[in-house]
Amino acid sequence: MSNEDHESGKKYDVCLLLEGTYPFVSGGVSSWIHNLIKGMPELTFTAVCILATSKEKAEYKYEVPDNFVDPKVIYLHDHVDIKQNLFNKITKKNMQKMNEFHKNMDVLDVGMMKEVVSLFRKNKFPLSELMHGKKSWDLLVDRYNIEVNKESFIDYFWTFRFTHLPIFKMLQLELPNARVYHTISTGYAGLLGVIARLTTRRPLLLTEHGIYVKERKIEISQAEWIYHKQDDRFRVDSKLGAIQTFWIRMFEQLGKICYDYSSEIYTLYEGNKQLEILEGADPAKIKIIPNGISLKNFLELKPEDHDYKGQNEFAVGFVGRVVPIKDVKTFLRACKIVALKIEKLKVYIMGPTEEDEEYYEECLNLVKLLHLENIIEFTGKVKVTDYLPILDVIVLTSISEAQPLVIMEANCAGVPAVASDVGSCRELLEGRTVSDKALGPSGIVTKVADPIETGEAILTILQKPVLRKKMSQAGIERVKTFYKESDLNKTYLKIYRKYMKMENLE
Amino acid sequence: MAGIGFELRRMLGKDSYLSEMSAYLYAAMVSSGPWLMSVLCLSILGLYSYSGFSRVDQDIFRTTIVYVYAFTLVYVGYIQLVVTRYLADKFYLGEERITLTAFFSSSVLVLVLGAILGIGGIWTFELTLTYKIIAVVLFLIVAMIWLAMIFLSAVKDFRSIVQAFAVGTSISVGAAFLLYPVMGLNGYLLGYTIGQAVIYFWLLARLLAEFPPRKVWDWGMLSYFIRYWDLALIGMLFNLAIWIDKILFWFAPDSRMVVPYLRTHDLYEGPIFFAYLTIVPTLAIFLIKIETKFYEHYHDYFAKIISKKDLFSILQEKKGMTLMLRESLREILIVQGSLTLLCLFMASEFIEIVGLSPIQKPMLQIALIGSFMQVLLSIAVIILFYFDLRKEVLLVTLVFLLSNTGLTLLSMKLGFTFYGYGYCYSCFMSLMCAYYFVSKSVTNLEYITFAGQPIS
Repeated sequence: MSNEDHESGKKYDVCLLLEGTYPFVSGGVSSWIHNLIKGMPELTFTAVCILATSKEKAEYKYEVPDNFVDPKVIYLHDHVDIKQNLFNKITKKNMQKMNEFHKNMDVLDVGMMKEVVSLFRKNKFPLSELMHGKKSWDLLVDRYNIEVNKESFIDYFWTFRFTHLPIFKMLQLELPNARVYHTISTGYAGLLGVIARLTTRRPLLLTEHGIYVKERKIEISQAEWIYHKQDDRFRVDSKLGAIQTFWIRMFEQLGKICYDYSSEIYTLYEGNKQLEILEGADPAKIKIIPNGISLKNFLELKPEDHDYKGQNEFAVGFVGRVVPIKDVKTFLRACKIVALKIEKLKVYIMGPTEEDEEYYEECLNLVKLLHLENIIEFTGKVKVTDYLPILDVIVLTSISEAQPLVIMEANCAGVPAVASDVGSCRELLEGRTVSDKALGPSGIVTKVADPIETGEAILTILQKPVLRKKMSQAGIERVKTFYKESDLNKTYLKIYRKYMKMENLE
Repeated sequence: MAGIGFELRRMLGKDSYLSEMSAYLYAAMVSSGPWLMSVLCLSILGLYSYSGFSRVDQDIFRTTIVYVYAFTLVYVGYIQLVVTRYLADKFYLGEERITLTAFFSSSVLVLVLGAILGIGGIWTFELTLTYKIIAVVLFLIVAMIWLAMIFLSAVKDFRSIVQAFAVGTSISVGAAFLLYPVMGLNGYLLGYTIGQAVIYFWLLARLLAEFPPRKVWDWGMLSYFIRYWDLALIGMLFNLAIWIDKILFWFAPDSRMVVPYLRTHDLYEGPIFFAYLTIVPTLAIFLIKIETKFYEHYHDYFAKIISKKDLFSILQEKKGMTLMLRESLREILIVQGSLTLLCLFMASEFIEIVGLSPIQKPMLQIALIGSFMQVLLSIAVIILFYFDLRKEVLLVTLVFLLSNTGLTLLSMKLGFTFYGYGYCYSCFMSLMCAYYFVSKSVTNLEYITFAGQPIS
């Protein structure tokens, strides 16, 4: 990557550090970023986008705003052609520093980190020597003896290479010149942020939607391709192999570094904050900034004069893909309970069914088994706004969520919700802060995978018109007050302004 | 190279004195390889010099044979290691069927290039046309023998090689003897050539019997010449390095022109060739030890890595390998050392037996020491090849070639009493160089095994 930006002195307001997301991958986080950039046309954004390999086609999935300029793309796992350099060897002194650095990874001495980064950027650690040199080999053997010892050496070797190579690549990367660096995850993008913070002395901000380290942990413990000893698999406590632990430790350390070097950490809800603290983030730095939604599409979907008391026909909605993580089966069982008490009931399951055909098939069988054929309708993928006006309650039985848009939309449309106690569902339905809680509940939170409690909660809402009306109003108020997209942009604009003005850090 | 171990162990496994002896014999045949055969043949025919043939004819014939062997070995060198590597890779992948195709392709290569080189090389010599034609044919046949031997040793058919050589060499000697009275010198060479042809066709028959014929051209093999250009270079230059001192001596001021431009150096050649004979036992021992036990360790070492063992077990295996190497080396030093010493002390008697001149005694002695080191050099090079350290081998080869050239020229300049020292010191220098690499690579074996791996 060239350093022409540095030479030309081109300076951006904000440099986003993005890993596997905007503008090449669509999804929740990407839309969030897109709206953020679009919401602040007065700032110029640039980005370093980290993608896995150049083999996957990198094409824009968004019509990027005009203030999003000169994004750079770096490929994490692309083949690197290493040129042997006979004369550029790593000095003994520098290698010792590298050694120390590895040993004291957990302590995260600022000075040491700075020193190693600057050595990398002065090309004191040529890639060919790090990959093929004798000194770095000795380091690897050292680490092996300390870290895994009795495990497969060949796997350790390749793991070491696979994990270090992307890091080495990033350490040598020339970064765009910006007033504020903002990474949307820890991990590799977080590391880039740390490097930016150290080399440019400009502040680093971190926004975490999902907790990167936790997600990697789940991924790694499920990964079949990471070797671990046979006998470990048979253990009851399903202890992870040393190689898997090695991967996890690396991501933990990357996470920790990023937390430490970020001036502030933002996340969506309280649960995430707790996880971040658990991973080593300073609680004082963490601020909760929930997502916002654009109100105009959802407000006043429900007619003002809706007659809650005289109603005897009801419609229940479920928004989400028909996949195990959404736990559709619990929802179906809950519906049976409701159907036993309420005669005129209609249930819509709104979401694509083709992602996990097998699971969908099982759900259909369950519908037959419960004799709910006449009540339940799988609509496939639909526009939720078409259904929200006729729904009386929205249900979410997910096993895992962050800050589900479905609930925010339901709140906004004045439809009460029943949601399992995951992610920020409780905050969204019962309020987060004191003033938020004072608005009253906009739905009912239930235990995960509990059809009886879910069913009863649905019944409560349907059978108590006064409560339903109150919930509906509380939801609308809540979103209007705390979850407006324009507010979100204002909050971030304020943050950006504050840090852009800030003096250079030491 | 590696494949031979199994067959040898199988033979040794029979656990009888005879089978062990035959294993040693095979080992000597295969390992001492091509140039040993040339020395043996010449020794047998050398005894004819007292059998009533014309002295000039005898010289022309002997020089022709030496030239043919020397230049075929250097010439085929470029193909030898590349093809060995190709076959080893193919066998590893379980594609034995490819063999005959590869053989045909390389035969075409050897024959076409060889014919051009052979004709070009001999054209200016003042010999009869018939003699020249036979000589070129002999050149091609001998070249093809070396090629066939690579393939047969790759398929581990040592018995055929030994049988073919025993029968063929006898026919060579017999036919040469029979045809000389009828056709003179031409008949002598023709007879010899017929015997060599028998060897070749015998080996060819074995190859054809072993493998069904396929298409003639094998692009895969040809691509190996580009991929393993260093092997081609090593093969040719190493053989050249072995021969360069002899070749240079043909042009020494005190060399003799038999007929234009067939040159020979009577003083130098004899002792050198006879000294070579002393290393046969070492090569046999080496083959048995290294190619069986060492291969086992080598195999286990990599098996440990592949089967996901921890570093300690891998290093444990390496320790076993190192120990075994050291023991074998000691054994070789004892056996070869005592043999060389014995020959050194009995040089006078030896010279009398084989009919050399007493003034050649110091030369024989220095050649004995040189051969001793050359055999150790070969061993070191084979070990380096085991670890696929081609760059290092190439370096050793260059050291050998350049030092042998330089020091031989120097010894020629310094005069008669220094003859042989150039070769001997050159062997010493290359041996030290190779030993340094072996010792370094054994110490850093796990580093070399892993860190050299290309990324992704």
